[in-house]
Parts: sequence; structure tokens; C-alpha cells
Amino acid sequence: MSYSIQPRTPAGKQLIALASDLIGNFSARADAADRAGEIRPENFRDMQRT
Amino acid sequence: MPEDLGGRGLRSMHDWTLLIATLAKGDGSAAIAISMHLSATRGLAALYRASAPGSAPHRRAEGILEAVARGEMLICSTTTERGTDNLHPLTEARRSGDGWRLSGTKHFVTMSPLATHVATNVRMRDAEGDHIANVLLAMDTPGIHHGGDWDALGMRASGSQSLTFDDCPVPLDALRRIGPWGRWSTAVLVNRTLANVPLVGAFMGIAERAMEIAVAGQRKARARTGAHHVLAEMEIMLASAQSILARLGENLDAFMTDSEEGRNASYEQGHELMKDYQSAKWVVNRHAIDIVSQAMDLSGGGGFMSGNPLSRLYRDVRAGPFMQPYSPVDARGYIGRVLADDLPEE
Repeated sequence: MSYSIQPRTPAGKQLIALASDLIGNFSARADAADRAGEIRPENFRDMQRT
Repeated sequence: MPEDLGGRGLRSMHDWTLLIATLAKGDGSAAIAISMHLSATRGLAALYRASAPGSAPHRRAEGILEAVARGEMLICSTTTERGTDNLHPLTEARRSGDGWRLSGTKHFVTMSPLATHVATNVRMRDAEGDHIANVLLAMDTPGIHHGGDWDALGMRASGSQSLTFDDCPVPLDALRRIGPWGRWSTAVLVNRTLANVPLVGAFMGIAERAMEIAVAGQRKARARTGAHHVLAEMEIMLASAQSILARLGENLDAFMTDSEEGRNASYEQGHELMKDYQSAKWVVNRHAIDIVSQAMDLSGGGGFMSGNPLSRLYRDVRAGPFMQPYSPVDARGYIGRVLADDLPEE
């Protein structure tokens, strides 16, 4: 058993699956963006595309 | 975004919070940034559903949501100003000619370097009194200036610079009154809670990512003496945080159904909602900070290096407690007063 939170609605399930697919890209960009102190437009393009 | 306007129709606060937590596992900055946009579109979607088809509010909400669905609008939202709180915005719209003129400065305007529009709360005074109002403005409105001053300990990629409104022209019908200036109202209590709860999810996601890193590291290196105890404590804290946040999400979903998305809520229910949000925020933020800190301990010196993701998580997670309304300094006083039926008016 885990206490990890699970989606409760079909729409939530779909969106959270899509968000899970974005974790890798976000993570790959995160450290460089952090060092530069700049927001990364690629992340938002990814979200808009999905 | 409503399904009939091209969206997926997500209405569950529970799932929205989980969505932000999921994104924060990749990048907390991106997660809080998109949550600001979603807080604006959630309000517009609620207005779209609640207003009569063909009415002015319905058409206005529909037009904005369609533009969002086409990818033409990205909305940053802010309520923060230096030296005051959410109930006392000092950015003020004053009547001028056929409309209004807006002046003031907002801080922590997350995602503003990329946004096409900004949604914010302002003070407005008219013959009926002194009010808090919402306004949505295009970022190319004359008089909006980007501060370019975001240089923080954490959430460094969130674009949370300041924005100054310097005598910006605002159309007469662009201001939407939501409550009296300087006092809690049901609408402000409900809206602030709904807008801010998903942000708590971001700090949950950061803690979950730190936990993943810690567990993977100990499995790979064979946990040394003491590490099992640290992992166990982290797991207990994570389970506590996940449990209270999930329960809050379930309760919010029930509240939204029972109160027709907050429209039929009472003032007392608004405070009850805010109290429960503050309790969950307290638990999640404290545990998230401790979980990331203990993940750093387990990493030895590695997590201290700037190239290690844990060092970023350690800084990002510290952004949780000060998020408005109510920092840890003020939250206990608020929660206690609600419990004692001494509902704060301001």
C-alpha cells in the first residue's frame, strides 16, 4: 500500500498521465534554468502542445 | 477548460492539485508558474458555466477561454504587494474619462516574462464604497513595466519579477468587484483558497522527487547504518503530507458540488475552507522542507553541490511557507480564531 495520491476523475487521470510524460523534459531543463535564473518557454510550449 | 470549448473539462480540485504536484517533480518553477495561469482560467470557466448563454459575462469568459485553447493567451496572476496583504491591495484603479486608470506595483508576478495577460486584484472606489476588484489586462497595455528583478534563493526559473502599472488605461467594464476592501468576504475566502491550494501541490511534488532520489541512492549504495531510520522518517512525513492534501482535495470537490462552485457558500463556510487549507499547507510545507533536508543528509556532500538536483529542490521547497494568505507566523492565529468562532474580518 502507498499513500501516494491518485487521480479521482477521468479528466484528471488523462491530464496527470500527460503531465507525467513531461517530467523528464522539465527535469532535463531545470538545473540550467535555475542557474540562469530564467523561465524556460519550452516548458510552456510542451504543456500547450499536450 | 470546459469540454465544449476544446478543453478536457477538469473540475476536480483534488486532481488539479495532483497535476501540479506531478509537474513539480520535473521542475517546481514551471509547476507554480502554470498554476497561476490555471487559477485564472478556473475562475473564467466557473463564470462561463454560471452565466446565462449570450449574456455579457458569458461571452467575455467564452472569448478568453477560446483564445487560451488556441494557445494565444497565457495568463499570469498575482495579488502580492510589498508591505500589505491580499485584503488591502494598494494598486488602485481610479475613474478617468470613460474608464479607469490603474497605478501600483505587484511583486512575485510568476510567469510574467512569458505571459500575454495579467490577472490581478486592485482597489477601486465608487459611489457604493471601497472595493477589491479583479482585472485582466493584456501585457502590452500602455504603462505596464516589467521589473526584470527576479533574483531569488529558489524557484529561480519561475519568472516571478515585479510588474508596475503606471497610469494604465482600463476599460470601464473590465473591473469585476469581488468584495469590500480590507475585509474578508465569502467570495475572496473561496477564491483565494481555490487559487492557492494547488500551489501546495508543488511542494508536495518537490518532496516526492527528493524522496525518489533518496531511495534510489540508498538502494544503489547499500544503505549505511542509520539510513533506514532516516528513510522511514521521510516516508512517514511524506505519507502524512499526502494524506492531508488528498483529503483536502476531496473535501474541496465536495464543497464545490454542494455549493455550486462556491456561489451558495456562506461566510462561515468560507472561513472553514480557508482554515482547512491553512492546516494542510502547514503540514505539507513543513514536512516537504524536512524531507528534502533529510534527502540532503543521506546524499552526503553530493547534494550540497550546485549541480546536484537536491540542492535546487532544497532551495525551491523554501518558497512554500510564505505563500499568501497566512505565512506560518500568522496561520496558527487564524486557525485558532476560526475554531473559537471568532471569525477574522480582516
